[in-house]
Amino acid sequence: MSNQEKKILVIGGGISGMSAALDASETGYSVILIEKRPSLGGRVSRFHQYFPKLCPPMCGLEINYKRIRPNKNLQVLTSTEALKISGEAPDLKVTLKTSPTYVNHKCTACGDCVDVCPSERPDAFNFGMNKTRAIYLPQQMAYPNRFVIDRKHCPEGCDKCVVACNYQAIDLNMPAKEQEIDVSSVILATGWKPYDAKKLTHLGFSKFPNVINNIMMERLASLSGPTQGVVVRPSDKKPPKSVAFIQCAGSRDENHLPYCSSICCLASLKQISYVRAQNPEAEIYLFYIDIRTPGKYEDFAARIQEDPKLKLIKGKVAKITETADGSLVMEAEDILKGNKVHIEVDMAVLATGMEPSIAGQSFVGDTIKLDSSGFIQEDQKAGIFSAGVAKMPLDVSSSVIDASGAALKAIQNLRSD
Amino acid sequence: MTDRAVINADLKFVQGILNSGGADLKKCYQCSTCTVACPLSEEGVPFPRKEMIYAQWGIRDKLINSVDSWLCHHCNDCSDQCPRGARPGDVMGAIRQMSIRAFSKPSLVAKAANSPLGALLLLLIPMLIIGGVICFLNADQGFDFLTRERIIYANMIPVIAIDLIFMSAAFFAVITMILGLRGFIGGLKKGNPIINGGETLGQAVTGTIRDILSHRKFKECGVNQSRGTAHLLMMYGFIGLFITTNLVLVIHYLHEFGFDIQDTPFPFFHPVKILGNVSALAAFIGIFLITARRLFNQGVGKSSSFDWIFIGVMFLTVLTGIMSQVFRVAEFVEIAFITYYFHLVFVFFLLAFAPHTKFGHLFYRTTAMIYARYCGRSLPLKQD
Repeated sequence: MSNQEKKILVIGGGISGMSAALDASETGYSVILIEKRPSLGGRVSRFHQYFPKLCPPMCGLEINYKRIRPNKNLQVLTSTEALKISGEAPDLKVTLKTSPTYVNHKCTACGDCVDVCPSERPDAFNFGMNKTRAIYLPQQMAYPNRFVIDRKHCPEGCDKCVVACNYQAIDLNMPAKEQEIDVSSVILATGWKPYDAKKLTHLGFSKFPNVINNIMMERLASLSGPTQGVVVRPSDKKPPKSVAFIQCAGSRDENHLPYCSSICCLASLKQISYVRAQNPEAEIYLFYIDIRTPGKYEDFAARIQEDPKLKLIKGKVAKITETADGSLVMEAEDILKGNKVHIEVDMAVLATGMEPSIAGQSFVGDTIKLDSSGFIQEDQKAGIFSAGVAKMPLDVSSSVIDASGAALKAIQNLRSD
Repeated sequence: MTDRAVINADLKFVQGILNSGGADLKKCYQCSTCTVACPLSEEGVPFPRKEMIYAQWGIRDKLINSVDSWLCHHCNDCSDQCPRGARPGDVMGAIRQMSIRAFSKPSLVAKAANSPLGALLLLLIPMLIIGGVICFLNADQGFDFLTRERIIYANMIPVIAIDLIFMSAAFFAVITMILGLRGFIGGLKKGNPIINGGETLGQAVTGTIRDILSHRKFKECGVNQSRGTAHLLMMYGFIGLFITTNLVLVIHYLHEFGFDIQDTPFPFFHPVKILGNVSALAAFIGIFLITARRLFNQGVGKSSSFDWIFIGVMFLTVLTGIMSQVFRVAEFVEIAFITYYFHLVFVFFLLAFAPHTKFGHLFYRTTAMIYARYCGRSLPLKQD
C-alpha cells in the first residue's frame, strides 16, 4: 500500500476537524471527515462573533467550505458517527454509521417542502429558543446545503414534503448505513459542549427563564439566531436594561468541571460588547473570581473594561433568585469592598465552561485514553491523535493551529514504515 | 511615601489551623461562594471568605479577636458548595479552637486538655484526689461500704467531701474562665469597634439567651439541619442535669439541717429523680446522634482531638452516671462503686477544665454573640 492509499479519518466536523482534514488532504493524502450532525461547522457556526476582532465566524466557515468543495482527496460524511475503532496502527478498522436524513443529494435547498410541512420541532441548534418545521435546514450556513427531516416529529402517514419537492430529493424510507473502513491514522476532533447549567442548582438555569448560558447569548446576538440578532430576555422578549455575566459557572469547581476552560472570560467580555452595541445605556455587571485572558488577549479585556457603564465585581455569584416580574437578583460578596451585594438585573448569562464531547462515545475503548477531566490523552503509537478542544480547552485560533499539528502527526504516522 | 500595612504572618498559627481540623485551608482561591452559601453570614461584614485568607496568611490577631468565627454555627453549607474542597466551615471551627487555646489561662492546661495524652494526664488529677479522699475516709473502717446491706454512695464518699472537692474544681474553672474571658473581651473590643445600631447590653444579653435557648441560628442551616436537634437535646440534657445536681445538693442540706424532707437516694418517681433521668437520657441521645453523625456522615466535617475529647468526656460522664444508678439498683456492688468513682472523675474533668476544652465554647461563644449584638455587628436574620 503506497502512502497515498493510506487514509486518515477525522472524527468531528467543527473548526478543528475541518482544518485538520483540509491540511492533511491538501498535502495529498486521502482523508475521510465524518460529522455526527447533518452539517459541518460545529460550535463555531453558533457564534455571533469571534474575539478579539469581533468579526463573524461565517467568513472563516465559508473559506473552509470553499476549500472542501474542489478537494478530491477529501470525502465528507455528515450524519455519520464512528461506532468502533479496532486494530493496531497503521491498520485500523473503523465502523461508521450514517443516520438517514431522508433528503438526498438532489436537494437544492429551495424550501418548497418547508412551506407545506405541518409539524414543528424545537430547534436544538438555537437551544430550543425557537422552532423549525420537521423538515428544516440544519443551520443557515449548512454543509452540505440540504434539508433534513426530524422523523420523530412527522405526523403519521404524512408525505406532503415528498409531493411538494420538484427534485425527487425526499425519501422517507431512507435506511441507516453501516460500513467498515480501513484507515491508518485517526484524528479525534470531537470538540465540546457547554457544561449543563441545570446542575448548578443555586443559579436557577432552566428554572428561571431569564438565566441563560453563554451559547444561548451567542444565538440571541446572531443574525441567524431565533431573534435575528436582537438580544432580548426570554421571558418577555424585551431588550434587557441590565445584564449580569457570571464567570466560572461550573468551572474551576471540583463539584462540576475542575478545570478552567480558558475562554469563558473572553467570551463574556465579547458578549458585553454585543449588549453594549445594542443598548448604550444598559447596566452591565461582570462577576468574576479572576479575569483570565491567556496569551495575548489582555488588550482585549482592557478595551472592554473601558466601558464606563460596565461594573466589575470580584466575587462569584453563588445564588440567583427570581423576583415577581421575572427579574433576577444576583447574590455575591463584593470581595474588594468586603460586603455582600444583591444586584437586580433583567437577565443573567452563565459563562459555562467547555465539557469534552467525547465522554460516553461508543468508540472510546482501550485504544483511546481520556484524562480525569475527559480530555484525550494522545497516544502516538496507537495512531490516534487529537485536535482542538478534544485535547484541552482552547479558543478558535489555537484550535486551528493545533489541528494543523495534528494533521502533520497523522501524516508522519502514515510514513513511519 | 504611602501608608504601609505590615502583615505579621504567624506561621505557627497557620500550622495550628491546619492541624486543628482546617487541613484543606490552602485549597481556597477566594471565590467567596462560601459567604453567599452561609445562611448566618451578615451583609456588612460577611464571613467566612475573609477568614480563609486571614488564616492562609497567618494574620492571627484578626482571627482570634473577631466575633465572626463565633457567629458561625459550623453547619458546613459553605463546605458543601465550596468549589475547591477547602472546607471553610471546618476552618472556622479550627479558628475557634485556636481562640480558646489562645485566651485560656493557664495556657499549659489548655494545651494538655486538648491533646489525647495531656487529657489522660489531667484525668489523673481527679483520679488521685477522689481516690485519695475515699481511701483516707474508709481505710480505718476497712472499706466496709462494700459489705453494707444497701448500696449507698455516700458511704464511700460523703456529700460534704464531694462538695469540697467540686467546689474547688468549680472555683478553678470560674477563676480561669474569668481570666480567659477578660483577654477575649479585650480582643473583641480591639477587633470589632462599636458601630451604630448596636443593642444595649441588656438587650444583647437577653437576645442572645433567647437565640441559644431556641437554637434559632442552628435552624438556618441547610445540609446539617439535624445537628441542631442533636445539640439541642444535649444542651437541655446538661442544663437538666445541672439543675438536678443543685437540687439534690439543696435537698440534702435541708435534710441535714433537720427539715422533714426525703434525702437521697430518691425513689424512682421523685420529681427530681425524674428530672435527672429524663435529662440524662436527652443528653445521651444528643451525644449519640452527634457522635454517629461525626463518624458516619462525611458532610459533617472533620473532627480533631479537641472535638473528640470534649464529646468523649461528655459521653463517659453521662454513661457512668446512668450506669451508677443501674448497677446500684441491680446490686452489682463492686461495679457500682467503681462506676460511681469514675463518674465523679469525669464530672471533675468536665467542670474543672471547662474553660480550657471545647466546653469553653459555652462561655466564649455566648460572650461573642452578646458582643456582636452589643457592637452592632449582628443584624437580625434575613426574613425570606
